[in-house]
Amino acid sequence: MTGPPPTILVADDEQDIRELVAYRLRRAGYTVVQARDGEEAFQLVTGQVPDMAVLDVMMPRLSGFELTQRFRATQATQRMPVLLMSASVQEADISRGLEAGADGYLTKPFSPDELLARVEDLLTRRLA
Amino acid sequence: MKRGLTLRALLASLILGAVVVGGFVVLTVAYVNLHNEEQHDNRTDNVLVTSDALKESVLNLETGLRGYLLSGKPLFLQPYQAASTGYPVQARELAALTAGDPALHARALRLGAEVRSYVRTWTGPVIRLSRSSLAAGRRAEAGGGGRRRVDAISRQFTVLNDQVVALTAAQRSASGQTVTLTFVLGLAGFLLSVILIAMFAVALHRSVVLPVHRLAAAMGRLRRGDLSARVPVRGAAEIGELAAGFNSMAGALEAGRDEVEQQNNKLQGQRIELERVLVSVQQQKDRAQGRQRFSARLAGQRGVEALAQVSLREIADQAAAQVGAVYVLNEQTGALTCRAARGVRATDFPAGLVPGEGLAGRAVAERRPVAGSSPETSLRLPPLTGGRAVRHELHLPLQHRDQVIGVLSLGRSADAPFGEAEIAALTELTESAALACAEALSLRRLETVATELQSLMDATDEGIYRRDLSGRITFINQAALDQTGYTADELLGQDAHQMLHHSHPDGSPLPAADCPLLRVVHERAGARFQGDVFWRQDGSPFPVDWSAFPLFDGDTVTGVVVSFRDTSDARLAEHQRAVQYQTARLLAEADSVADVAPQVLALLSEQLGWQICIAWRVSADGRELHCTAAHAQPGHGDQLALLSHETVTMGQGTAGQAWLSREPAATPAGQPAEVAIPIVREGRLAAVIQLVGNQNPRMEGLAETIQTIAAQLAQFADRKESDAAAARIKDQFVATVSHELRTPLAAMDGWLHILLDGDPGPLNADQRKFLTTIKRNSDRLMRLVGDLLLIGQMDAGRLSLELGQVDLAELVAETAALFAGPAAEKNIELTAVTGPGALVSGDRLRLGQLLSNLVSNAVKFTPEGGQVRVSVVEHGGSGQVQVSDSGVGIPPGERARLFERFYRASTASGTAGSGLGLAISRALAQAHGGTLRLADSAGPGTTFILDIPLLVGTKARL
Repeated sequence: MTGPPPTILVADDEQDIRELVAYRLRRAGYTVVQARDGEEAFQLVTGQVPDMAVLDVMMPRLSGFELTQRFRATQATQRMPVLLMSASVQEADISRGLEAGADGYLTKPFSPDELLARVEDLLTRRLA
Repeated sequence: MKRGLTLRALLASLILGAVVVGGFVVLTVAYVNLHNEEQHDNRTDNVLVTSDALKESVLNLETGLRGYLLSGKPLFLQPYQAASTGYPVQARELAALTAGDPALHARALRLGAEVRSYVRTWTGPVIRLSRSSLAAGRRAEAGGGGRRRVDAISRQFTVLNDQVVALTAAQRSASGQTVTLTFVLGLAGFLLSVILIAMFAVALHRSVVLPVHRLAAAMGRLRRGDLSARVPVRGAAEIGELAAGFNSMAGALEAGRDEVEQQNNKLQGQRIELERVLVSVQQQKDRAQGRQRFSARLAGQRGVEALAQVSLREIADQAAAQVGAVYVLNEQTGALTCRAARGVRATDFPAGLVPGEGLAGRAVAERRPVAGSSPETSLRLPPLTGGRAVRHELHLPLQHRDQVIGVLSLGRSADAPFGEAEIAALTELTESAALACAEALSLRRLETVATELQSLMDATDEGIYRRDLSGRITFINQAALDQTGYTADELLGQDAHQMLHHSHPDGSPLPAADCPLLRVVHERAGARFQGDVFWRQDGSPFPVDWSAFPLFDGDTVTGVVVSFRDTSDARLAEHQRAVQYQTARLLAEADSVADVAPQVLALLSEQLGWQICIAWRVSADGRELHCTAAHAQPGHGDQLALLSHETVTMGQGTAGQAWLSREPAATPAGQPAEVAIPIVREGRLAAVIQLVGNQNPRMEGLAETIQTIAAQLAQFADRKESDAAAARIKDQFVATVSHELRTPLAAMDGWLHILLDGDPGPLNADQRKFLTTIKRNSDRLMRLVGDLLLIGQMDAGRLSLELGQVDLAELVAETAALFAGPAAEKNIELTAVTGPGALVSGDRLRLGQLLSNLVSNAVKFTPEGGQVRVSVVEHGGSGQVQVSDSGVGIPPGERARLFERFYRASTASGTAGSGLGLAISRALAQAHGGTLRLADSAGPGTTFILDIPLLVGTKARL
């Protein structure tokens, strides 16, 4: 991999989870931008578009679904890979997320390795 | 050897016969001898006579010649002439007479010849010479030649005679001896015969006559009645047998006589018995006649009361009873009530009788006559006339078949108890009375039934008529008259088919010979018919469902009863019910009211015959009705379009009127049929259903039908609403739990991972051990939450499977690999036996979870050093996974409960677990169309068997 390390947006209102994800990604060499909710995440992205986003579904103000839809509706982030995380294993939630435009869905709990594998997979696909 | 009497008699006769024949032969021989002798004597005499005659002829010849010669006169020749013609005859005679004796015969012949020669050679020539010369003749004579010849001849005669005499004497002597012998022999034969006959007589006497005499004597004794007479068994042959036969006959007679005497004794006994029976029969006959007379009197009565009174009078007369009463069952009340009384007013008797109470009650309860005497008399009477009290009473139950229908009580004041025979006689009369009363009761019952039947016939709405075998109506009820419009007089006696039922439903003629009713008569079985038409008096048809049943008298069909119902209304009700039923069916599969509304309207249209059906709803502003759903029959689409595009204001048209009045509204008669029915829910108008155009509008029950359907729809909507709400709540709960429990767990899990990965820095042994403990418990909590969520989803019916092709063999191998570590820790031998592959349709994750549960359990419950074996085979179209362990096993009593939620086997107490694993596993197996069960195993250990249907077309791969 050449150039600067990819930047990943991690948005989750649960600080413990958000920091866990950020920690793991940073340890893997990514640059991580953190947001506490959907609204904040969207604000952050308008400044500089990250290489991809890892979003919790259930966030105050703006849910992961809505945020994804908004990303898709915005020119700059239209093609940015989005990985949704949720504690819900409901089929309906998963399909709703994919309908909203997400590229992957991760149910909690997940192992750090699984997270890394999915992130790398999405980044590779984007480049391809 | 015993010789028969016949043989003996024959033998004796033969001997006797032989002796007699012998004697006879001897006598005959003697007689013949004598006879021969006599003949011989005669012949000898004849010889002597003849020889004398011949000698005389010779002498005549000589003397004649000499006379002639001496006298010379031919006269003296006469003797000569006679002799010369006679001697040849005499000579021949002599020869013949001596033929029996040759010597004599020869001498006779010679004598004849010498005489002939004397004539021819002497006398003849001398005579002829003398005729010519007498002298010459005399000289010849004188020569003496003639004389010598005659002398010679005479000597010859003498010899002959001497010979004859000698012969005769000899013969006489011989015959005398013969006669003597014969006499001796005859005498001897005679004597022998006499002796033999005497012997025979003696023998006959001894062997036949005596025994026969004895027999005759014994027979005489027998005849005189002395059956002990016997004879000695002596006597020859058959006679002996006769005696033996006689003895045995006498013995038999004696035995027979003894038997006959016994028989006689018996017969005597029987005769006495017979006489006794005859007397008894006569008595019975008298009683029967009495009973007959009694029955005849009863037969003249009608009604239970009359019968009771006659019975009481007759029976009481017979019994010389001064008082009495008859209680008979009252069919309405079931009580025994007084129907007749004697000696006392009926009202003085107790009105009713309680079985078992008092003597009469006992007679009823015990079903037998009950008699009583003064101390226990229970006829509760006021003092009898004349102050005489009832001394003896008798209560006779009136029984018919098995039922006691009453009791007849008698009382008499005379001191004469009711005897057994008297009771028997009275009982018989009572039986007749009971029979008559029972018949009267039956008759009354029949009359009641007949009356009730008539009432029933008139009360029912079904038309009913009865027709005889010729088809004529013999009975018809009011409902049938009402439905057909005829009067009874118009139909009774008429041909039912011609009057009522002469066409097919389409109106084409139905010949009487084709009427299905004939089949009912023929097959002797009832039948029901639907969709037929009958005809009214005014010539109009009406639809009927009808049935016909044969009427029997015994075994013979005597007629048919037909019942029919005008189905015009029934048909309508049926259609209305059909709409409701089909609506319910539509709703069972529908998601929302909006989905089914058009279909329901279509049902109304088709079933009830309306061309257009429209559902109206009040608009949001409450000012108008808008069409929400509609249906039109083919060809009425334009009209529907026109109607449904308009809005309706309150009071406008039928729909508007129904809105306004909240009552069904219809166009006046004569106008095109249109009806509108309001549907009101919770005080508000929910909708108006408008129905337009019907050839034959029927309003009965229409509003009710539509309102019922509306209620069905509303109920459906409510149910859908509450279902959805419940599902929403459940989903919410699941989502909340999911999020609220899993989020902190996920954070814990993630950070533990990072620590254990050694990312923030190396860990010492204790730190690692403690963190591992935390991690294990965190995992366990996570699994529990996961299981709970899964069960929640299953209960909500929201378990979603991501179906794909899953290779069970591969999955089993993976799962086994997953547990290789834990198994190795416990030194358990974990083996996976997998075939080439078993493709099933399933959710890989869930199937993996299922297998993990099973293998995890197996490892968990198997002690150290044990075995766990996982295998995949094809079995009956399924991929079958067997997980066996050598663990503690499941106690038999707990096997059934093993798959229940939160159930943990008693043997699992030492190990951690929620008790949800097997319940979830089984649910997952079932969600995949498979099964999970516990194998029946006798030994230790446990085997779980999972069957998941193979993908079609992949069976060959296993």
